[in-house]
Amino acid sequence: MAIQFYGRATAAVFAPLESTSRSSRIARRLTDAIALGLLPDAQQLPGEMDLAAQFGVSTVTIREALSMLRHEGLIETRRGRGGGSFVRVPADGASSLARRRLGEVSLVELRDLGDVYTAIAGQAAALAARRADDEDVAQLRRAAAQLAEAGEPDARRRADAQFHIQVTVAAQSARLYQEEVHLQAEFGTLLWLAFGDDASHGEMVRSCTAVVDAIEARDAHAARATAEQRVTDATARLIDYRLDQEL
Amino acid sequence: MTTATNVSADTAAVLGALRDLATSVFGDVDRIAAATLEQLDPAGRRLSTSLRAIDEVTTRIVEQQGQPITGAGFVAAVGYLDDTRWWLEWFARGEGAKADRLASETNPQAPGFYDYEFLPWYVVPRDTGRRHVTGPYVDYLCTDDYTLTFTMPVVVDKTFAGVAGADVKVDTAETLLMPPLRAAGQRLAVVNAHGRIVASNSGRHVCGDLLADVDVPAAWQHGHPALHRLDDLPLAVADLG
Repeated sequence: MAIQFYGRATAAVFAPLESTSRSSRIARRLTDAIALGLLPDAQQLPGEMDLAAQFGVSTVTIREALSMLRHEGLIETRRGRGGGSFVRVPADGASSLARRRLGEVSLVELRDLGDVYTAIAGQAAALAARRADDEDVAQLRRAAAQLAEAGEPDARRRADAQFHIQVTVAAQSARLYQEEVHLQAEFGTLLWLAFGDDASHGEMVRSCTAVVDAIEARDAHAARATAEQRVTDATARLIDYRLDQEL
Repeated sequence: MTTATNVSADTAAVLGALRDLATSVFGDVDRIAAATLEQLDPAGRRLSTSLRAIDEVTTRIVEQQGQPITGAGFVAAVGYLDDTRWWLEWFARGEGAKADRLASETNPQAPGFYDYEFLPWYVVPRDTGRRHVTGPYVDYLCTDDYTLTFTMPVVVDKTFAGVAGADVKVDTAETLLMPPLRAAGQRLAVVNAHGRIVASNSGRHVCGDLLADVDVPAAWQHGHPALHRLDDLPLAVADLG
């Protein structure tokens, strides 16, 4: 197959998948899920056959991925009756996983993730301003109120994630919703290293309220601009945080 | 409410396809509601485990070839059951058209917790006592699909016990609605009571958009010559002129 003109992104799509890269990508996915709290401590993972079916890979690949997670101390495997693989969240919480990952990501990659997230968040907010009905606006207000009330960093993170998911839902787009979820797993976990304190929480609540106001007023320009600004600011803050860590 | 006066043949054909879809789906939802009612003995203990008795009829509906439903089941009223505050006895069509049980997370602190107490497919049948169609909406709690959800209340001894329901992907509804929409000699859109477009025969009126030509929520209350409602359901055919 000749692949021309379309550059490396297309070439990468058609590149053969090595079993090691597949297994490490599955390990990364599961690590992100643990960092996000989607897989809580002590949760039993599905069996190897089920995981293989879910990811569409062989059980050999799954075994490799699980072995990486075991090596990282993120799962524990018990044999025999009642056995299986169980999640072990590190003692210092999921944020240590995110911090470890942040060290591996270059600044240009962070900027690029921020660029994509800006596009997704801005377009979702603009479409929501065009398509949200009264019920959607009420759900967004509820999500914003939950964010305002959240006190613990973890509760704030969950409420923030929920709010931005609601924006893509109000936009009526299953694809934007899926992109939002993927970006929250890939980028949101990192962003949250630099957030959660009272000052940034106050800013976040103000920004979310401004987005809902713009959506309710059917002002697509204001909704887009406010949502984009939030991601731009958050990315800059994360890059500053990362730079501070290196000092 | 507008009545069937001055309904063109084109509009009538689209309304007919819409009615066929609703009749078929609510027929199946009604069977799930009846099976559920048999299990909810007003005098006995109300247990989530006894709802297993509806699994057979529900999985048969979900797995049946050629019907539009991709998920179905019963969702208990919050606080109705004795052994858990929330419960979904729900199946979704998975690999090879097999029905997969939706895992009910009953701990509100857990990440997979499904808080349905404020969602329209639950709230509207509870508050009105009538059947309802929710959507089109992104069903981010269950399938991640763009979905229409058909629900009806299940009432035991005048107490709201929950809703029986079924999901239909908007893609599927579109496939069923397109033949009469394509055949129509006029611009028509199928909309919900908010004016959200389910399907249309115009590129300027795409699915998910709110109809700008007619103030549908107002027309719903007072009637409008361009809006033709489907029986008691929050669905209508709008004449785009």
